Amino acid sequence: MKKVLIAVDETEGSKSVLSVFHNMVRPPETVVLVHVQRLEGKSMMIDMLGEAEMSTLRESLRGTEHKEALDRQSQKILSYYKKEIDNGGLVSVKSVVRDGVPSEEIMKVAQEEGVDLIITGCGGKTVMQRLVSGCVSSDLERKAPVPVLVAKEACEEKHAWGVAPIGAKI
Amino acid sequence: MSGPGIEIRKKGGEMGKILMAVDGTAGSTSVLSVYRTMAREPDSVILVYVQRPEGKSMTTGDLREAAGQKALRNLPHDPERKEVLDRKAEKILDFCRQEIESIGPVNVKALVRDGVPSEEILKAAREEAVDLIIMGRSGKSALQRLVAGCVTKEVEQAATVPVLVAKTGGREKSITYGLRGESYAA
Repeated sequence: MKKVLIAVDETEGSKSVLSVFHNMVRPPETVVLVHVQRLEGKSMMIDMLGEAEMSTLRESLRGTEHKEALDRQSQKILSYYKKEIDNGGLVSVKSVVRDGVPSEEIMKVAQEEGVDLIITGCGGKTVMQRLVSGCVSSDLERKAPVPVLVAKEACEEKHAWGVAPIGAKI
Repeated sequence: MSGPGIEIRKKGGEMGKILMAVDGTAGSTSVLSVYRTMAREPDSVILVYVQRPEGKSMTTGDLREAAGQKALRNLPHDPERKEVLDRKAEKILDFCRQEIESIGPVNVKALVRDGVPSEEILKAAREEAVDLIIMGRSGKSALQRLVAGCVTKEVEQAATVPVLVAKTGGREKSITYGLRGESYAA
């Protein structure tokens, strides 16, 4: 297995991808870490926006404090996961920041990078959002051309990776 | 067998058991190739095959209650048909067992169940306390999926352990995965 795409967000549940990555899959050569920014905040209308409206939203946010905050958050999230994943520099990690509809952006990156597997958590949306537009992982699972591994929040507690980061063991 | 990347040492017994849900479709081939190329080698594999006593009928979804299932099982059905089903299950499970054992030394336990597939898979996962479930995409026809939803989705949503969904994408696809796996294994 060459490349694994790992989709992460700011939620605690997202950390379950780490234990799954470390314990369940064969070590790949490259990991592509993807964080999709939520330009729309907590709004639920993202799925209804067309390409044109999306780019208008992007345009209007450029250079604003909100966008800067989002960028800072993305960097924070990605550097956290990079540290947890790269195993002391032994696995090459590529970080990608996107904005838009999460499942679509993740799929686009998967295609561009030619990944062999997608790992994602099962959260990433609020209960209400899930009701309105389904959850990101099931969107992915339905549409992705490669296998999708859906990590569960419960396994985070079970494996308690946070206590002893695996990267430190070698 | 492992990839060229660095070996991350296993924590004690964490990848103990993998449940693999198989059926007679091409989806199962992709389950095997995903197991071969992507999953870390476990201590044991639980193979689950859910029989369809109802044949191609779409009513199992409605037979959820134990009573309905029991009634179905107690139907004065053809013993020959049951035999045919059992033979099919055995054939599929034997094939998968051989494939898995050819990949590496591992305990394989094969289970045949009957009932609602997603429920039986989840039950088996609980009973065996597995760490990961691997399953294919299509255990139902498009029409059945419309009527009763998709097995994979049901399992993915209700499972408490990670679920790895293999992709079928036609036969060629799964063969490609198999070949890729081989080249990495070599």
